[in-house]
Order: sequence, then C-alpha cells, then structure tokens
Amino acid sequence: MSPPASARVAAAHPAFVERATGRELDDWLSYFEPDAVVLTGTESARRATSALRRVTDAGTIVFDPNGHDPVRGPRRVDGVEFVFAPTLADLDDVPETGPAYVLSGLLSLDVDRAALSTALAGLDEYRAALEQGSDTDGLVHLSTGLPEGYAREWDGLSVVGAGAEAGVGDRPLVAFDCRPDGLVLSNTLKPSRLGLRALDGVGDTRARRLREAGYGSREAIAAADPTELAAVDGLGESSTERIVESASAVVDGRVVRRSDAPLPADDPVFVDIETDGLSPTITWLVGVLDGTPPDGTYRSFVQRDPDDPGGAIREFLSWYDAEADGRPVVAYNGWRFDFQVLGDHVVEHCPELEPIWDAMDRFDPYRWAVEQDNAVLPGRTNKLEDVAAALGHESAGTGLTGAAVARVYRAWMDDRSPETEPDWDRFETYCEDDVRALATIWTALDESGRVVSATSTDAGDGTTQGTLSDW
Amino acid sequence: MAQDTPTDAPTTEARLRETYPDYEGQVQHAATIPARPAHTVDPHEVLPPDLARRFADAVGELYTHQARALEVLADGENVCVATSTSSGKTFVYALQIARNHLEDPDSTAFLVYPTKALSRDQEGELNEFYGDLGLDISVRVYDGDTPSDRRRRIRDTADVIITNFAGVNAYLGHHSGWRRFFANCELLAVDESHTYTGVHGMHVAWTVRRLRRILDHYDSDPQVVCTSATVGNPAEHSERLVGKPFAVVDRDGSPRGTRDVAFWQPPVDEDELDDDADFEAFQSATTSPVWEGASIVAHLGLHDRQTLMFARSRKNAELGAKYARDAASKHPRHGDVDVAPYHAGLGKETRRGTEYEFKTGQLDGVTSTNALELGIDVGSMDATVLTGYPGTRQSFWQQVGRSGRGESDALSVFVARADAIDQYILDNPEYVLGDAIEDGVVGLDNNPVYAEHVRCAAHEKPLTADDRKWFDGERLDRAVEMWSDAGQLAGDLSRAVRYTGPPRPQSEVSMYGAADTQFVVRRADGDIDMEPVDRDRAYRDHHEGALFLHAGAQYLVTEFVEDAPQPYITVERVRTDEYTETSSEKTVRGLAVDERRELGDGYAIAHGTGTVEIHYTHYQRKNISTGEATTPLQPTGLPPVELRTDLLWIETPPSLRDEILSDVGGLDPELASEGEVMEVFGGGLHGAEHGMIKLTPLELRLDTGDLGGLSTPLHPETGVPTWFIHSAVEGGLGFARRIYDRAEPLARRTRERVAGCDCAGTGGCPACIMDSQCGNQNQFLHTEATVAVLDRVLGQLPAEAE
Repeated sequence: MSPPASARVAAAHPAFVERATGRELDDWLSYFEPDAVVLTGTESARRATSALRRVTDAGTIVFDPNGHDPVRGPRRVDGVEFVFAPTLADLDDVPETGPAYVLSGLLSLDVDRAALSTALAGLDEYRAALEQGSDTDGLVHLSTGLPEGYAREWDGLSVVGAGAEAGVGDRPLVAFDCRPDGLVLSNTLKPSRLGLRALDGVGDTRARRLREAGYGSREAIAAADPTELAAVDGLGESSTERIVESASAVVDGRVVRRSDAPLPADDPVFVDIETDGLSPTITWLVGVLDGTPPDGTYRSFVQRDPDDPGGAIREFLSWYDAEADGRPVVAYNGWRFDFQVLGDHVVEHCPELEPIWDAMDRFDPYRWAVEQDNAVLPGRTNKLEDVAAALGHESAGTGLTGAAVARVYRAWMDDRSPETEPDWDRFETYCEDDVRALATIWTALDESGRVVSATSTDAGDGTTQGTLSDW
Repeated sequence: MAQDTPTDAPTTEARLRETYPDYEGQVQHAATIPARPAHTVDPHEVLPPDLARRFADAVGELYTHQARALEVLADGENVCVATSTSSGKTFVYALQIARNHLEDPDSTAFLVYPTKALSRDQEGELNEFYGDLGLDISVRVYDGDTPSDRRRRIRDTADVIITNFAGVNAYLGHHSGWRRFFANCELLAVDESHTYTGVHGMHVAWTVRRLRRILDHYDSDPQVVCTSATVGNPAEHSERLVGKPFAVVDRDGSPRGTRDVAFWQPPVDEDELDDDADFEAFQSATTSPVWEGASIVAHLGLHDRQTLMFARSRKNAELGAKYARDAASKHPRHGDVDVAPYHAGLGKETRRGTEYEFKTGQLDGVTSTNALELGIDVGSMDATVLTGYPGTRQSFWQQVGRSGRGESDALSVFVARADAIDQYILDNPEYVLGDAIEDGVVGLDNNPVYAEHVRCAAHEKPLTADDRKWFDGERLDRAVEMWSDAGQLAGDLSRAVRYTGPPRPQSEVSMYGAADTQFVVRRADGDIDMEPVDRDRAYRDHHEGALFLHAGAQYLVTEFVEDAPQPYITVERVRTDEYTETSSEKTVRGLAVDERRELGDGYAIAHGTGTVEIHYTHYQRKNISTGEATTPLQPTGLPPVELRTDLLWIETPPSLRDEILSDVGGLDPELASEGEVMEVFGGGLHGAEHGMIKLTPLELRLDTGDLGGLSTPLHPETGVPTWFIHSAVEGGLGFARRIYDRAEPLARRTRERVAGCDCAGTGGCPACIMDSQCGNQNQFLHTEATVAVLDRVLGQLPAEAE
C-alpha cells in the first residue's frame, strides 16, 4: 500500500536559510524532498529567497509571502490544489469549492493574557477578501504567521499553522504533507541535525573545523582515514572513532556496534502506544508484536470508549499476564514516553494491575544503543521511522503521524458522533507499522557484530553523550 | 572579647547615650517595651496523653498560643498563627504532625518554606524534635538541590517533606510519582506566609490551588497551618493565599524581657548643602547609616555585648563588618571586635561557620542582610541594629525581635537613612510602636499570572466544569477559551479540557514575574546568578549601555536582544564610579473606572484599569559622588512599552492651578510663564505623587519598585489636573484598590512628612519627595506646593479612623 497522494511543503524562517551552509541547505531539502518551500517571518527575505533558488531545482516552488514578486494564485502541487496568497487581493482566486489549500502569511496569533483573550490577527480582512458567498468547506487556510501544530476553526474557517518559527534557534524545521482530503501531517527535523552536525559528537565548532580540514560531507568522513582525521584540531582519538562510526552508520545504512554486549533480553514483546497527545490522559491503543518479523503476530488492544481510560491497558496487562508472563517488553524511546505514560496510567486508571506492571521487565533499544553507547544507529536521525527505513523496513504507508492520530482521537473524545469516529482499522495498521519497524531495529541490533576500531582498543571509552535532540 | 563589668554595659538606651563616644544627640526618640511573662498551658490539656507526656518530658509546657492553635486544629479548622519571632510557631504544626502520626502512622505532611536555607535548617530541627519525643517520623527536604537518585526514595518513604513553592510548581507536573505522599497528606504548612505578597504572592496563591486540586484528586484535603509574622489582616491574607477559611491565633504567650528601642539619626553635614542640592548631594552629605550602625556594633562589642546588625544589601553587610572593625580601632577603648558578614551570596560552609561562631559567642557581632530575619537559628543576642527601615512593620519587629535572651533585657537601635520613609518614622515613632500593622496584599486579579497557572493545571489533569471551584468560577472559561484559541488547550469544560502545548508548561512559570516575555541574563565574562527579568523591568533598568548593581557588584549591559525565541541581555562586570540615569516619557490612557468617589468642589478619587505607556528614550552616565553627567544623553534605541495595569488617580479642579500659583508661588496666574506653572503647580502635583508612592509601604506590604506614577496639570482623559499611582507590572497587582481604600491616611502621612522635612529650599530631598526611580530626574518638585495640594485634597477627603 502506498501513501495517499500529498503535496509536501517545507517551511523555514529566513534566518535559518541565511545562516545555514550550502551543504546544510542541501541536506535539509534532501531530507524532506519538498514540492514547495515557504519562508515564514514578517519581512521580505530577498537573500533567503535567492539562496533557496540556488539550491532547489526548477520544479520546486519557492514562496516568500513578503517578497516583492512572490508566486501567487492557484497552482496544482503534486496533484493537490493550492492558492498562494501573498496579499489579500490574491484571495479572489480561491475556488468556490474545495478541496484546496490557501497558503499565506496573512493570519497570526495575538494572545492578550491581560485581557484573557486570543485574537486571530488579520481574520476580519481575510474573511472580507474571501467573501464571495461561497461556503468554505474543504478549504484549509495555512498561514506562516502561525506555529506548527496549530489547528483551529475560526468563524468556520479551518486555520492551520505553517511553522511560524521553524528553524529559529534550534526550533525544528517543518515539512507539511497536505493531503487532498484536508489532513495536514507535519514532519520535523532540528537544524542542529543537519550536515556534519547530524553525526554524534559533532557540534558547531567541530563541524567548522572538519569542513576547514576538507571533510565537507558525511560521506567524506565515513571514507576518511581515521589517523588523518584525528589530526584535525580539537578531535581526540576516541571522538574521531565515534564520528567515523556515526558517519558510516548514516552513509551505509547499518548498525555499528560500539560494544560487545549482547542484547540483554530474549524473546521480546514489542509494544507501541497511541495516546491523546504528548501530555496524555489516555492510552487508547496498545499495539503488540508477539515474535519477530516476518512471522510475528500483531495484536492490538483498543479502547474506543474514552470514559473508561484504563480499558486498553487492562486488556494488554491481562493478556501479558496470561500469555507472555516473564518476557521482556520492548518499546522504542520507552523510558521517555511509552513506559512513563503506561506507568502513570496504570497508577491512575487500573491500580489493581500495578503488580503485573511492576514485575515486568522493560527494555528500550534506543537508550541501550544511543544513550548507553552500545551501538550507533543508521538513518538520518534516531527517530524510529528514519532508523527503520535505513534498515530496509518498508512502511505500510498509512500516511499518518502520532500527532495526527492523537488529534483524531481528541476530536472523538470531545464529540462522539459518526463524523468524528476514528477509522479504527487504519489506526491499528499505523500502530502495527511502528511495532514492526521497532522489531526490524531490534533484529538489526541483535544481528550486528562488533566492528573493532583501528584506532582504539578501549570499547568503553565513549564519553560523548548520545544526542536526544530528535525528541 | 573585651572585658567589661556588666553594670557599666550599655544595655539600655540611656546607657547607650551616656557611653557612646562622640554622642551628638543622635537618639531622636526612645521607647521601652515592658517585659511580659510567659503564659503557659499544661500539654495534657490539649494533647493526647501519650504525646503530652512525651512533650512534657522533652520540652515542658506549651505557650498559650500554641495550645490555642492545637485546639483549633483538633476542631478540624485551619489556623493562621501570627505571633512574634521565636515564639515557637513551629511547634504548632510539628505537634499536629505528631498527633496525626500517632493516630495514623501512614499520614504525611507537606511543609513549604520560603527559602532553601530555612528548609535545611528546619529539617534538622524537626528531626531532632521528633527524636527527643521518641517518635519515628522522618522529615526530608525535597527541592532543587536534592540529588535525583534520592528523590524517589524520599517520595516513597518520607513522613514529612519540606520544600518551597517553586518546587511545588514543578513537582505537580508529574504527580503520579507522589501518589503515596499526596494520598496520605493530612497537613499542609505554609511557613512565614506573610512573605507571600505582590507578584510572588499571586503565583503562590495559584500554585496552592493547583496543589489542593491534585491533593483532592487523591482524595486528600489536608488541614492548613499558616505561620506568619504579625500582619494587619492575617485571616484575609491566609484565605486569599490558600483559598480556605482560617481561624487566627495571635495572642502571644511567649515571654520577653524589657526592650529598649532607640531611634537614631546619623549626623548630617548641613554645610555641604545648598538650596539647589540634588539627590546625590544629599546622599553624600549624610553620614552613612551603615558606618553609624557599625560604630554602634563596635561600641557594644567593646562592652561585651553581642549584636546583630541588619543591612539592606549584601554589599552593606560586607561593609558593615569592615566598618565595625575600623570603628573599634578608633574607639576610645582601642579594642578589637570580631564581626562577620552574613548573606546568601556567601558559601554554605562560611554561613554555617558564622552561625556556629555567633551562637557560641565567639563573635561579637554579625552584619547580615535579611537572610537572618527569617527563622534561621543563631541563638539570641543582646542587641540588634537596623540600618534603614526594612520596608514593613512586621520586618521591623522581626529584626528588632531577634535580640533578647529569654527574659533578659534587650536593646535595639534603628538607624535611619536619608529617605522619606525612614525620616517619617523618626518623626513619628508611634507609627511602628503602635498596634497597627500593614496588610499583606495578594491580588488574584492579575490575568497573565492566572492564565499561566490554568495552563499548568490542564497539563496536570484535564480541566472540567468542576474545576471552576479552584479557578475563580467563570473566569476559567475565558482562560480556557484564550488558550484553546492559541492552540495550547483542546476540548470543552463540559467533558475535559486537555493540554496540547509544548511539554512541561510548569517550566514557563517564573515565580517572581508576570510578563510573558522575560529576559534571561547572561554574563559575557563569567557567571551571574540572576533571575530572568520581566520585559518592563528590562526596558527600564537593562537597556544597552545601562549600569546596574546585582548582589553588590556593578554590571554593564552590552547587548539587549528581544527578537529571539528566548530574549536575553548580555552583561559584563565593570568597576566604575558612575551610574546611568534613564529618562522616560510616560502617558496614561484608556482609563476604565472600577470605583470613583466625588469629593466635592471638583475633587475626585478613582481606581480602575488603564494603559500606561512608558518610553525609555535616553540615558546618560553620571558620577556617583558628584552626580555630574560624564557622557552626553544617548538614545536607548528602544520602542515604548505598554502595561495594562491597575491604577488609582486623584483629580483636582482646574482652579487649583491658579490657587497654588498665587498662594504658594506669589505669581499672577494670568502672567505666569509655562515654566513657572510647571515648576510650582506641576512641582506640587509631582511631589504629591512621589511622596504618596514613597510612603505607601506605611500602609501596604509592598516594594515601591512595584509602583509607578504620573502627574500632569491637564490629563487628556480626565480633563483636569491629575496624578496617578499604578502597579508597575503587566496585568496589575491589585494595589490601586488598596491605596484607594487608604488614600486618606496615606495623603495625611505624606503631608506630615513633606511639611516636617528639614530640607532647605523647595526642591525637596530624598527624605521627602525626591525619588531615585523618577524618570524626569526629579524635575520639577516643589515642597510647599506639595503641601498645599495635599492640604486641599485632605480638606475634601473624609478622615478615616485608624
């Protein structure tokens, strides 16, 4: 199954584009592969626009809503209808009926805490310019004045944030997948993970020194002679080893082991959970893969009734107690999310099952590999989907993200009606995809052997912290 | 230590005058507070037999206020104990915890202290106390300094946890880890509760409501004990802080000896001053109160009397210790005294050492900031010296009350600064000696602060309609709508409102600020330990080029960056003999009246909300000792800032202009130039505004830095001569309504101070109407016109009984 057609729009603040090196811009664009790039911010960004024109191919739309001669009017982007609206006058071109996306910088938030009210600045003028007696169903109004993740109905307009501060400081860069059905999914990448800085142990300073020494790309570093590389000012032997390993993992798409330690668990149960957001109040889906791919059996525990928030966890723990007792439970980045949330929700919603939870062995391959420095993971970032894709996992292509799934469930919690009812099967498939990706990573870790470094015999001498910047 | 016979020693105010070398009549007034015997109760009358026996064996009798408070708690009520320093308030909650523990060994208690130092001090004291009682109750501090590997164990096992409100704010974000502790919590104690006022008080009040909401979630509704210094409104203050009704226990049963309080005026060198003297000239002509206080410490030390001196800054605490040693060497007795400074900037080891040496009598004196005002046990001493009025009557008595060993006699000396409030107190010592105590103000109306806590509460547990009871009713609906529109909350109160913003909103709460934009302070050439600065303060005090003092050191702002995800200023340590003075232009508009009183004859007083726009336009450097400009005026490069805040204003009839011009200025109103009008009439309004602001702490517990003002011979919205006093914090602090209620006594005290001031000329002085925070370089001020303006206003204001 291939993902539904969608147009991908990458957003970045001009400050990011102006500051980034050419290679970082390339790296950013090749990570997201956008159909269009939009510049956020409130002022004309001539330098950023021309820098972007140099690094994008002719087919990619570069849109600066504040520019002096911006793209404007209706365009079809990868099969999806867009109206580029740098000014209110361009709203004339919005079609009478959807579905279509209107992309502008005309709407922004004005949060007045002293008056306890939030206004959508520009809304009145926007509405007036749009007014043509038509109904606005199916139109999605994206504005670069609003942050990523923002989605709200204003006067019947569906208003969505297009990444107001994307790339400012180390705020994530964003790419939006705009689907024909009006669903917007966002993908993020922190600027500090671009270019050489994507490598473990490489920050601004080292990236600059490596570039100055002629190692301008990750490929060059993966192929470098470690002894020569170690001569670069400010690099020690052990960090050189780690940087080369990190580059090899990314470039070759394989796990590079940093220790001889075996995976500390056998016969695992892989899990992934779906909640109602990053500060969750309910775990409504626990997806479990019993066994490794390709034969593992997937099962999911779903709670369709939000009024009984412990339902899915109760079923999962009862199943575990009866069928999988004593086997380790594995979750990717579990110590920072899944295990914490499950632990809290067990306490909160089904304390009677706490003994089962407390007795369970839990294991987080992300922590084991990256934070405890047992292995370098492949993939452009350490996100589950990037690592699994690098290892050859084929995504089921549900075209969903965790945030989108959470949003749909929240809508269901607020108003249980046939219109808001989630497509449960699709979400179960989405969750299954993630646990299978996890199992792929597990298998790769399990099969990987220790690569003995030419420059160091001390396997434990990895003082560089694994980066968590992806999370 | 020097040797002395006790009978010669200056243990009283009279003996101090007789023995002090170079005595020049500095004591302007003295009062003797008679001794009071202890009033005690047999613990068996209020405590269960087992506990009563343990207490009687370990400690003895209960004071009557302790017994009364324990009775109130036994009746299931909450209690606010507002009695003097070292009257044993801690025993109230310590014994209630013991009583709960004997009934239910699983019960827990949460104690919140204002400082980490006090938390650690009390942890030791309480563990020792329970050891003496033979009870197995474990008391643990849990705060930002607690190592992470010990945290879980403390949460899972401690009977009593001590923390501070910044900690509570953070820990509520993951309350499931506190389930055992919260579910068994039977007592919440808020120690030194009077310290929670102003912006910080608002944050604490909402944090307490969030805490109570989560406790309620775990089916706990603990009783609350507030211990407080004496405030004017203990019940109201506690209720606003905690949101529960309180019984007040304020009849002090602890004993005290006779105490003499001397009111001491440092000599002023009048010859140095002419009629045009400005703010800085006054400062340099006055003998430093720190020097004067240190001389008294030295004098007492050489007579074998141990003294604690309070200074108003860390720098002055350091200087005080040095001056005391210098003064001892110049003293006719030519002795040495051992005096050490004490303040929070010193390392923990140094502070512990000083506490120990003072307690064991190895030191003759300690010169301290208010770090030693709150509860820390350094034993008791013979005398205390206050260099400057500490801002409130409670603090005054708290500092004075540090001296006195049990029922033996004690001496306290208040050394006045050249400042309106200190001089007012020298003129009117009955102000501090009387019974009245200022009110503690906790305004709950500030929306920016409220909204922050609503957002945190939603993160802690989804909000529902039921939560209106914690969050001020329908106001919650507005806050939810605001955050939902802003994309940070989702859902409906009829079902559940969930948090959908960035992780950990608790970390966005700055417990001392109100603005949503805060500047972090970075130091280019080292580290600096400074809280982030609210936007309005940053504009005023930390624009590029500004010099400022922090923890006794001088810094220069080299960079001011607002257009960044985290706005910041960069500073550098400098050593100059200069300071910067920033000029501002201020306007007030958009007045919305909450209450208004017509006073007759065209006079009126009102309070409400409005927008204050302040434009900090220019600054220049000046020499600290001469006050002369050393650089030309330079632009700050900043746009104006706006505050939506609460304000109070007084309107006068337009005819007042002519009356003041002719009566005070001897001018023909028809012929007076614009300059003369500003100098005389404008100077009178300006003086009344300054004077009232400077004396507000006589009525309300606040920092005058939280207030601002504006006066004008013609305000565009009122259409008449007007002066304004406003809260200087975005969203307001609720001070305007309080000042409105106290306008008569405040105007009367201001009139007395200005009329009674000794300064020559009509430009005023720091002891009456000059204000270091003035954006117009104290131009124009006119003392006689100020008195005349206030006389006329007072003629219209009904006098209030006090």
